[in-house]
Amino acid sequence: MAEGKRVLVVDDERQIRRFLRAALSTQGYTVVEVGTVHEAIASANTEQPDLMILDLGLPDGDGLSVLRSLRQWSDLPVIILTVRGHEADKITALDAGADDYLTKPFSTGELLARVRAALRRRGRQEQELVVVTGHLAIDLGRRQVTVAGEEVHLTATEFALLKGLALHAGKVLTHRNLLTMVWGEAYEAEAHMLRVNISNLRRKLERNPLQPSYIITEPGVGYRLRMADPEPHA
Amino acid sequence: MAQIKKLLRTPWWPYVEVATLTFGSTLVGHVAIRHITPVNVVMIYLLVVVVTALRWGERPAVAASVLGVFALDFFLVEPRLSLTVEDAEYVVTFAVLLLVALVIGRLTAQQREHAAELKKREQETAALYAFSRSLVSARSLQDVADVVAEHAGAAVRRPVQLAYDGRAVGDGAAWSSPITTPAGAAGTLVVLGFRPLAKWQVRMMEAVSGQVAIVCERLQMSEAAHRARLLEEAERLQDALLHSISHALRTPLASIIGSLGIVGDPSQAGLDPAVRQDLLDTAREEAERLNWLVSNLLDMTRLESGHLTLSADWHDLEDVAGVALSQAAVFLRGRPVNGRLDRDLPLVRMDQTLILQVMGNLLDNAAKYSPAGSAVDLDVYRRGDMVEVRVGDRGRGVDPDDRERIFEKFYRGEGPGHPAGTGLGLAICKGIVEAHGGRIWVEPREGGGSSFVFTLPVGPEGEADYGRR
Repeated sequence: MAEGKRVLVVDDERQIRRFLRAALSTQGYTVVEVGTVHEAIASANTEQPDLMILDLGLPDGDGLSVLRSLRQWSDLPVIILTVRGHEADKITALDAGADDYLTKPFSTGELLARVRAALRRRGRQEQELVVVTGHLAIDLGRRQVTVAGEEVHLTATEFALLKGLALHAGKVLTHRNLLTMVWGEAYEAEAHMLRVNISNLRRKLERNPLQPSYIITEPGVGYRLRMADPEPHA
Repeated sequence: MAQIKKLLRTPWWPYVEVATLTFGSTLVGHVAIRHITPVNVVMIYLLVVVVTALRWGERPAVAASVLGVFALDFFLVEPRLSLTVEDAEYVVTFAVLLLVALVIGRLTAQQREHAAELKKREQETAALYAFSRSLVSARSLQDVADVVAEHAGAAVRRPVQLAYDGRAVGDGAAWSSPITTPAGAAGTLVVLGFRPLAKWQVRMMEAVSGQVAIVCERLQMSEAAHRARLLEEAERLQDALLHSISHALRTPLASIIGSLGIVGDPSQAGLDPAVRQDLLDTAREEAERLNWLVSNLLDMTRLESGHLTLSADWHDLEDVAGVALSQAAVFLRGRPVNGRLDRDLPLVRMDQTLILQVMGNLLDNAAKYSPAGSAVDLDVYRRGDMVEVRVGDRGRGVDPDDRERIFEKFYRGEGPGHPAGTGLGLAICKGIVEAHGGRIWVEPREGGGSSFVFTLPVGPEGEADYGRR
């Protein structure tokens, strides 16, 4: 499926670029590398990539400025690279239209999973009415949730929260995203309502809420619904 | 009342008073002259001169003298209502009266001015004294500037400022003086406005500037001493840190370089695939450990700089513990982990990144100091107004003597086969937990091993029921 997909890598560190190129090209992606804000914006236009991997710290400016100017004319999927401790940057980038992020250091496995997820999301034409990941099936049209075929009863709030996550399956949603999605603008700061409902959802959906396999916490940033990669025998 | 006061302050008022008093004296003299000699009536006029001089100063006193002589001549001495006199003797009387009156007036007026001057001086001295006294308690240049503005201003009755650090002053500088200390310029003392200063004000400002210079010198000296102490402390810490880090970094680096060296060696092409995989896994684990170590070092710098600001929010401990377990998965490889959490834990306010680091460090320690394959337990439960998080291992346990000391910076347990570490992990845990208002300790476990326990306070808001079931 990766055949012919073009990935634009924007990073000024040679080692990281080498590693990204190795990881991506063995999977059949075509990799275009640039190292500056200026080149990034130019290449996003001329190279017609399918996805951009963008480092936030660039020598001639902030990666965020690339993202902001890109978002004025393109909805190209963008995955941000940051470092630990810069949670605020991640949130800013996600709010500015980034699709996902990776915290350095990250493994090849993580990288490829995020790239696949971002491309898959863009590939979907219509919003699917039924989102399936692992044993969890969420039927958005009929408001029905099943785990391994058994129906699970959710409160209206819990369903709204799960629906928000399912509509952006695989993508990180910031706390603010989720709060405004479910409760509205006025509740942006009420993080505790989110925590409690996530906890309740996990107890209903996860086999072991302590080691969740569907609703994944992104520390300091938000939550995502993990999309299990389609298994050949599933 | 106010109008009367205003009237009393007009420049011509003293002369109105002089005229009135002289007129009154003439009336008194008119009656008295039947009983006493005219020469003695002169005394009444002298009295007017003294009173006027005391009250208003020299010029009105001169006016009183002249007016008195004329009144005596015109109204009381024969022929009345005429300036001519019958008796030539009176000319002498008038001349003496005028002279005496002028002298008395002048002396009295000088006396009055002198008293006024003394009073003013006394006020200035008091202001200067208040200034010095306030200056003693100044702890910074800002304090000095405040004292200067308040007390020195009162002493010279002009707005005074101490300009320092390029801070702007008000308009105009009637007088200014740089404040220099042996360490260099500290600032400039400025009297604002455009009107030049009187001599006494200049004298006063010179005294003020001398005192300010002394205080500035004292401040600079104590600051220099403080800086030197901090620097010394920082250097000591840096030495210890470098020593500990270089040691802690070398061990994982050695196994990474070693493992990759074998895998990449062409002469080892026939390497058993299982061995090869094992070497790569080792390299990866050790790289993860290095990454963790760097996180610890970053937290240490934050704690050390004294600028640890918690970005705290409400968190579900089950959620946080889950993330900690998934992050520690690499260290815990192959170990059973038993997580036991109270079902209705309250939400707790915390900085999630930092608490994750605490849990990670404790889980890492549990894995490092216990036999491979033994279980690690993570319990989270409510106790009173605290939530307790307990990480238990089945290791050798901690000597009673070491139970306090292992939380100190760079303290490392000793013994053969001791795993490498920075000696920072537990110190960081302590710093973070205490910044959250909690406590951390270690206790022996029933059946062997240790439990590392930390608490976090449950705020009143954490209790609120937000729909948890």
